[in-house]
Amino acid sequence: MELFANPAPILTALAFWVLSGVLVGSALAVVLARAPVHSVLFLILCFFNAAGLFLLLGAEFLAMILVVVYVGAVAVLFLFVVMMLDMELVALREGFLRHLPLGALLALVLLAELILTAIGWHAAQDLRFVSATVATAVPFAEVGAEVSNIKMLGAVLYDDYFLLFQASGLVLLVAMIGAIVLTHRTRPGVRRQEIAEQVLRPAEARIHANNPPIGGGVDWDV
Amino acid sequence: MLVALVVFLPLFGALASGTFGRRNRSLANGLAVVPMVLSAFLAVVVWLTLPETPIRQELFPFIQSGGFAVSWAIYVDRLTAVMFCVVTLVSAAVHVYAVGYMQEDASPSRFMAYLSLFTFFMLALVSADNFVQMFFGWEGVGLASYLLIGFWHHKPAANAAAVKAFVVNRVGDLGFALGIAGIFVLFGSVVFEEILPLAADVAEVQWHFAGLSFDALTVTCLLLFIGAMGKSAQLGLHVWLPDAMEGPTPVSALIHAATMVTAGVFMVCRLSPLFAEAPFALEVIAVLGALTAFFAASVALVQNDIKRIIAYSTCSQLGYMFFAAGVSAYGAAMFHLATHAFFKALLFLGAGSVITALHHQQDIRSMGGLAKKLPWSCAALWLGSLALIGVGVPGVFGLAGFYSKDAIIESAWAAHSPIGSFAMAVGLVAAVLTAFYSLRLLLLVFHLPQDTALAASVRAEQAAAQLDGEHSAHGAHHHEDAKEADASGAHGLDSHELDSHGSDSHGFAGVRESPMVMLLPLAFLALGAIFSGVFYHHEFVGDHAHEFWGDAISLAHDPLLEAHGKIPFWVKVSPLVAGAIGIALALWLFMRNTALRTTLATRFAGLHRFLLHKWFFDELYARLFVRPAWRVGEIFFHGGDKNTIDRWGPDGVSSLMARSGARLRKLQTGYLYHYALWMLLGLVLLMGWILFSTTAGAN
Amino acid sequence: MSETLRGLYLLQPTLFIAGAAMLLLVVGAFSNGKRDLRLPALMTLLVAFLLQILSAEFSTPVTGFGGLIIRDGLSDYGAALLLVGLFVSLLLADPWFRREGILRFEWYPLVLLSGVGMLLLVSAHNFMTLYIGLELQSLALYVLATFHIRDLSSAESGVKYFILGSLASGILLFGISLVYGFSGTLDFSVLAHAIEGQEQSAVSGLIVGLTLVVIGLGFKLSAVPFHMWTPDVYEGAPTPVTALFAIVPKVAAVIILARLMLGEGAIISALGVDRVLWALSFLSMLWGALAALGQTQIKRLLAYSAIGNAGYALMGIVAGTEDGLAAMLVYMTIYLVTTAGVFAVVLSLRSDGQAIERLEDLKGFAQHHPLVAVLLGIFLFSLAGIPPLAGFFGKFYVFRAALESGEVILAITGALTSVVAAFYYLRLIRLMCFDSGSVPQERPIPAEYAGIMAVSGVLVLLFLLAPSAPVAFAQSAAASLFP
Repeated sequence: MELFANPAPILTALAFWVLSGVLVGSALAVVLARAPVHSVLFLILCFFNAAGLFLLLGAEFLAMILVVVYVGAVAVLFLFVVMMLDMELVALREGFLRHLPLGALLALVLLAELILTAIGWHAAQDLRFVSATVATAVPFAEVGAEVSNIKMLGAVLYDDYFLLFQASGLVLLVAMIGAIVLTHRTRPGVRRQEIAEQVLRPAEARIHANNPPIGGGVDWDV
Repeated sequence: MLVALVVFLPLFGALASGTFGRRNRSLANGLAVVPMVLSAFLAVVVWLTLPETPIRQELFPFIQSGGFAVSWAIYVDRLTAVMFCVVTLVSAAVHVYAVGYMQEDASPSRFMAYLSLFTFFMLALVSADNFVQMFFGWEGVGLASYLLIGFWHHKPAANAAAVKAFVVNRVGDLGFALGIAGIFVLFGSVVFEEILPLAADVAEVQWHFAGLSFDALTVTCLLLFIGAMGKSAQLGLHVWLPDAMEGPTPVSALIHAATMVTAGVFMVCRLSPLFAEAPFALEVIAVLGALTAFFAASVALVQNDIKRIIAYSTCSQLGYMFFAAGVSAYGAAMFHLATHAFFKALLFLGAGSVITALHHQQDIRSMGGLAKKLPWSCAALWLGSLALIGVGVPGVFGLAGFYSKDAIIESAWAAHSPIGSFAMAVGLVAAVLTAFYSLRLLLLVFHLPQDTALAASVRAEQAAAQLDGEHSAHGAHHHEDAKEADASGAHGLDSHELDSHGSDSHGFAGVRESPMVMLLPLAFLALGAIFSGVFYHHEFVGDHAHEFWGDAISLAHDPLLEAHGKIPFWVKVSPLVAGAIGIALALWLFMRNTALRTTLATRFAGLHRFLLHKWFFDELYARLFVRPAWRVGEIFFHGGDKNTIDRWGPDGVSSLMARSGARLRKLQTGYLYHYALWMLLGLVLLMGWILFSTTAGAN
Repeated sequence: MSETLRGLYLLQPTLFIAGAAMLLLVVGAFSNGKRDLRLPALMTLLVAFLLQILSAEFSTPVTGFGGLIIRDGLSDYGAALLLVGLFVSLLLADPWFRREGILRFEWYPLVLLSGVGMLLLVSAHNFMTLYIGLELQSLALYVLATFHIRDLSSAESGVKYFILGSLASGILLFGISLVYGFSGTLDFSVLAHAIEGQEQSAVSGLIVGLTLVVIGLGFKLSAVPFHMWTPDVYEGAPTPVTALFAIVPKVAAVIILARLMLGEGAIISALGVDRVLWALSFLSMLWGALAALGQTQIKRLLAYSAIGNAGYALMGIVAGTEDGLAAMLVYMTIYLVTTAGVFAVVLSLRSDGQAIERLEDLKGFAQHHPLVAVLLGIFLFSLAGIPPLAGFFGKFYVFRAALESGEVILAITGALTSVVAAFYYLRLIRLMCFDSGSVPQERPIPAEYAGIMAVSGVLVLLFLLAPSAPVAFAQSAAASLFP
């Protein structure tokens, strides 16, 4: 931690390049890998590298969240799903080569356009300055450096972006409802525990005192 | 609130009856009749409580575009109040009557709904406070009239008549619309209250066109009058009115006698301050009105269809109203409008009663001696006719027409102009003719015995005409020019019967008087025909005219008021004398010297034919307009449209469209990755374009 | 008042719906889906509508949550329109779902939550609000498209919509991150202020970012060439969901585009990205008209109609004037009313217990249901823009606004494509009225459908009596962007 908190500039630069290099490489591998399982594994690698980049920025909390949530939960879930699905790899690859030229062309043009855009980065310095001075509510400026990462996130999320935080919760709620709607089926004949019914059932209904005659059985019609 | 109710109750009735009355006859009748009667009652309340200043109630804004602002508003002054009463009272009577008349019809709710809808449009027309709303009502009544004339749409003749009414009115409406445009150009507004006081200011404005200069106001007023001519069936644009008798009789009574056809007169009166500044336009109106009065009366002399006779009579009376307006006697015109509404509706409804009793037989040659069998209808027709002729004792009492027609003739005399004298002379001649044809109708229908031989031949003729009509209806379409002439010309002669199985075989044995529900409205209208003149002539045209009308119409040049008390006795009694001559002539020809009738008819066969064919107007129009237009249309249709425009335009373009559409549809493959590819392609191209164009734009 | 409190006050209708949706969810879950939630859901929308109207502040824009949201005439107009649209959609859905037997209680919370997303979208004043609103809306709609889970085509349409929608969201998010990266702010007005007087080279990143944002929104609006999902999804989704798609989400999308284009947050026009809108509008009108020719499915036809209409609405935005915005609002209002009527008719089409979805089966419809056929005819004529029906005025205002701001090519394209579009609307009418067919239609029509048809029909027919009233509303809403 000490190393990341106050690293030498050269080390930071090195770490950045390594991390982002691996990130881009593994992202490519996610798309290009033959087996879906490999893709997911590369995805996990991506997440780790991205977490590393967050650490470089000093956002430890985000880095940890990324590892815990994305690697620990999401990616693992993906792995299970992918392993359970029976996919024909050949069929998936079919047409890849046929569409490669056009796809590659598109990607190249897009890349060129984005590079063209990126050239303007430095020219936009002034713009960023103006917007920083114009902005009436600049959340980060008010918070001192010594405040911890989590506290600051909390302050921003629950105060300035209270609305969006709650709205994101709604998004998740919708996702949950969606998952239930799409998968949940009421099957006939499933036995459920009805706790309320159990509790409310009077004692007489629960206990049957039977006095079966010798050789006869009990009438079982409850 | 009250005035809004008067206007909208009929609309409510129309919607309610048309929507909920489809299954149930009495519901259909009730839903239309009750709101209508209520509206009539409220209209009377409005009339009695009318304040000094006009009521103006704005409902909501209609169009706002630049300097052009129009609202839906109800404007009620004395003029509107008169029309309110006339329209709603007659309409209520006709609604009640229609309950009986349409008893056996298959779709009463449609009929009632149309009838109420018409009333709503008419009320919207008369309560308009601007030209646009008036035009709305104007077109609305035209539409309702079209629907009602063609109500029995299985009759080819009814359809032809409906189309004819619509087309002829279109000519008038074009004039009206141009007139409104002219008004807007002149005044920059279409609201009556803003325009009318300014009429004198624009009297000098000239319009230059094709090197000539025209008096702007005169041109505008003439254009507006063309609109009035169409709606009010004045000479030239009158041809639709007689044919409109194909509609059910209550329709004829309400629309084609009492209300819609008077819209033109109403419009001229409403705009009287405008017309007052356009003397030339007034002269045109007076001459055309007088000519119409004479022309229609002359045609009515020899017609055989009972409804057509009354229709021509309507046409003629409208002529009276117009020439009254033409000599600036707007009060007299409105007076005649009001009284005429009552007695003409009475005549029509009485005639309708006869027609139903005879199972839709309309030809008077096959009638006769019905006075005993139909005493009430007979009384109604007599009363209506006498009111129409204008019978009365000067200074004591007279029927409605006595006062109003008198006022018109006196105004024409008092105008002291060549036009006025001409109008008066023509009006008197027309009055003689009016008395004559009225008596002829009464005598032939009720009092003379039926001429069985003639009746039989008439029925044979009708049967043939019906066959012919059906044939031409089913006939090939390329004969339509011939058919058009046929529908307008030859068809005019014979009446087209709805009911071929009706009275044809049996005589008048089963003829019975109409039910109470039809007789009551007759009684009500009869009251109007008797008393409307004597009660109100002081207000409309007499001593109280100034306080009665207020600013509603222009009384500035009213000849009758100017010449007040200085009208010689001979002028006053002249209409009465004219009527008496007509009556005497008719009695002589039909009761005494019947042989002379046939002699006259054969001696003046040409004239007889001329009149029977309504001065050959329909034939003239067919030759002058319909057929040339048809031929030009053919040329354009085959040469221009089919071979040029269709071939290269729509057909060519549409096949191109269809082909490119098919190509585009092929892109919609249904494959997800194709769609994604499209999106990315679009993205890359759009981004490239925007980057290129903004960079290029910056340099 | 603190920013948060003010924000809560401003957003009260939206928050009310969110709360009610969650309550309904709980009630539905605990009653095992047996309780009928229709009335509470409708009441929720009604109350929200009243709250929106009563707290409407047309004249002065107010921001809340530190500029995350804004309430002004535009957002109020949009919200009112959305709420009406949602209300109608709920009404439309119920009888159909019941007849098909696939109604589940989750329908109501999902629709309400998508509504929350749309309402956030129309009052967004920050790219983050925009994104979250859009996601909330879209996610709910993805689920709804798949609502008929046993139906394969419904599932297919849901998956297609979801994947393409995610792609669009990715594009949008990438655009937003570019905007943030290049400008350091996500607030609309701050951004608009910051780019004033900046050099071309300084804003090129913003231009690209914003183009991506517009493309992401264009997808939701089903603007060409990002429309490919529309016909498939419209066809596959259960018809009431299609109705919802057609009636509501587009309103939210065009309004947020309008906000980015005009007024104080006018970023699109300031950066010259309105060219993208121009292209989208042009292509949508063209494609919507042409590709609709020869369709055989009613819902596909309506999908292309929706695409074309998106083009017309965009034209009003591209005009870039107050009049153009007002015209667009009027156009969307009329479109909503007409579309509601059309779907009421389409949903009531049934024969032998099956919903009718092919155009063929409409043959001779006029003989079985003359009144409904007349109404459908009126709606189609209105969509085709034939005077004197409401649709004519909608198009007329938009064309006029476009012409006045010099967008001649767009206006001409619009007029020409309306002609082509009229062809397929009229073809439908011909099928109904003049072709004889043998498919009997079921009676009676549920009261909800009859009511919506009647109300839409009356509004479409009588628009010409008082066009100035809705136009005045739209104008005052538009004027709030130009203080």
